[in-house]
Amino acid sequence: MTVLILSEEYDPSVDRVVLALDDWDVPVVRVDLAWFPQHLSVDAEFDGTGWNGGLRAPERYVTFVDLRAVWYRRPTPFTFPGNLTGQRRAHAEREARFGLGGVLASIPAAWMNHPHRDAEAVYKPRQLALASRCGLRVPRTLVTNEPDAVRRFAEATEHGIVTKMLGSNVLVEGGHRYVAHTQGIREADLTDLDGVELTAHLFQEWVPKAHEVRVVAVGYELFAVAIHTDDPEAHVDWRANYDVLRYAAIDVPDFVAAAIREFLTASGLAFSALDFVVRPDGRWVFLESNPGGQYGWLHAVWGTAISDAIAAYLAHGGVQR
Amino acid sequence: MSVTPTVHQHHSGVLAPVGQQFPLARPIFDFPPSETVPADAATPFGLRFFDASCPVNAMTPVSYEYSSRLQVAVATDGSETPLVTMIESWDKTTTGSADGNREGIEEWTMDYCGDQQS
Repeated sequence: MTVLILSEEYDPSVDRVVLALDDWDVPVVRVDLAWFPQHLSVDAEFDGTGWNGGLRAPERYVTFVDLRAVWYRRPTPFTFPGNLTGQRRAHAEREARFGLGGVLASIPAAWMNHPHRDAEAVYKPRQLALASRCGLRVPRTLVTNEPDAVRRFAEATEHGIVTKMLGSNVLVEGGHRYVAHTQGIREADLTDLDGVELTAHLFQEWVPKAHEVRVVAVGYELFAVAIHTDDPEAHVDWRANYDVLRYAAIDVPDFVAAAIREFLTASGLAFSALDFVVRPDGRWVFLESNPGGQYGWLHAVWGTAISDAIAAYLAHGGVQR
Repeated sequence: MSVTPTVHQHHSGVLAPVGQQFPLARPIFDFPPSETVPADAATPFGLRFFDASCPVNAMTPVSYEYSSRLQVAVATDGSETPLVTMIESWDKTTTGSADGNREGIEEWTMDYCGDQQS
């Protein structure tokens, strides 16, 4: 039985897992969908019960029926020949997505994560509602394009409000790359809310913070890291300045761990990186779940434990010991 | 030994458009066409909090070769040494596209559909 990894070529976190599986003599095939159709081909035939055939990659061939587990970690888009342009390229892209993507999504293996679940799981409003239902404490949150609603919300909160992006926090425009982090909303912002009406915005009550925590969930295994800082900007959002952060591996309280596992189960996720605020009174408050979240940067804290857990999950077809 | 089912519930998938239910990651060096922004262009409120991190032409790809034999990125000196064994900055605290040692996208937000981009 084979492990299939769908990822981009350069991803050191994937490299660690591939090397671990190799060490354990677990057959593994790594594929980037950017190889399709020029360096990757598919031959899939439905025989009335399931998809037979497989994927042919450089130096590898894997059959669908032989797959034990699939790790879906940010494969990049199909790359078509240069003489396909415009609408024909778009047509080819759609056909590849529905054809190859559809066959892959039908594989009855242990997925980490199934792409359909990944696609659903990035919606923050859904995350918050689901997390609350699963027993996690969730901040009061407003999604609106009404400026008056923002002022009303701010007045009703005790410690002020912040805003964060609902989708990507990266924008490329005019030859520059821009990044946004969680931002505190000041009085001046509340008097000038121009642009709120243009689209949906997310505002959230500021949660008094002792420190933040990232929890990397691999199946039912949880790896938690406390993130401390004295820097004012990083105190609002630790992503704002990595150079001023201090980390420590910590345990997740039992009732929080149980709620996280219920959240993952309800989301259909086998992997996620979840962010929490720990309040000065020790209570954990859920901020968000990143089903494609990163963990390699925590190597200094957890070593290869997370990579090994992923490799073990895949090697055992989703069965955890 | 405990047994962990992999997919526990049936999900409707109503939130994600069909095209995005097989999400693909935007390659870090695949930039949208540059456009001139008029001075009077409308700006969503949230965009005022985006800070310029770098010109896109200042971003440089990591030098690597992909070994089809080892299935990992290897050094470009022909030694087939996996790059991951040479990384000295795993304790550098960036969540880059390459997760830990390259500037880039903070998290994979899976909002890229190649057939929907200009």
